[in-house]
Amino acid sequence: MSVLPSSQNKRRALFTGAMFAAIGLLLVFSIASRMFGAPMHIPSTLVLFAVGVLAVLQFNTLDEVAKQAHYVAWYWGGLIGLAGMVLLTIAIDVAPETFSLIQNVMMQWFGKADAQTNFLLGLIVTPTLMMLAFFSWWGVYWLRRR
Amino acid sequence: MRNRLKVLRAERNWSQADLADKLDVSRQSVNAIETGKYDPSLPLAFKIATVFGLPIEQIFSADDIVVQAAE
Repeated sequence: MSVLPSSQNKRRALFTGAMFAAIGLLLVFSIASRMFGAPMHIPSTLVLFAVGVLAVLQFNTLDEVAKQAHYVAWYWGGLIGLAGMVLLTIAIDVAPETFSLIQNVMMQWFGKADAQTNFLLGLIVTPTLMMLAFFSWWGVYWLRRR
Repeated sequence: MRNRLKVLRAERNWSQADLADKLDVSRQSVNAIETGKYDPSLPLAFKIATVFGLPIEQIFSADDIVVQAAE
């Protein structure tokens, strides 16, 4: 079934595929760095810039309804993600053992649970919650309009 | 906002994909507009009017706006 005019459809598929491949490469770099101690800072930074460029190119291939879905999903997904972070903060305050559990996971993955890794965890948790909420919202929004 | 997209499309024997192709949007977008789940922007509404060869007001109408005639 035709979804978009073929050339635009192909460009969108190309940019989307390249963007996810680049994100996958970032994950591979991260795992390689953790498992083998390989320095991946420069390649990761370069790939990150490539993801940014690909995201702009991919977004420009979307029509206005798809763009609107992204705007709405980012707004509500972002808010829900931030609310999740607040709830998590309250949960850790109410039940400190929750944080101990997280620290145990960190010890297994990073081999340490110092201030730096705690800070990194804080950096990762909020956008992760926002991304999860974004994809959920976008999925529901988009599927309802099919 | 109401629209006559489905009727106009049927009169021309166009599928949603055909109309999407003419408008440079996705088939899902045509469905969203047709079912009233999304109101198109003015540029897209004008493009739709051009594709059907009709004035915009013959395709879209506001169902909850009462325009008072100037006295």
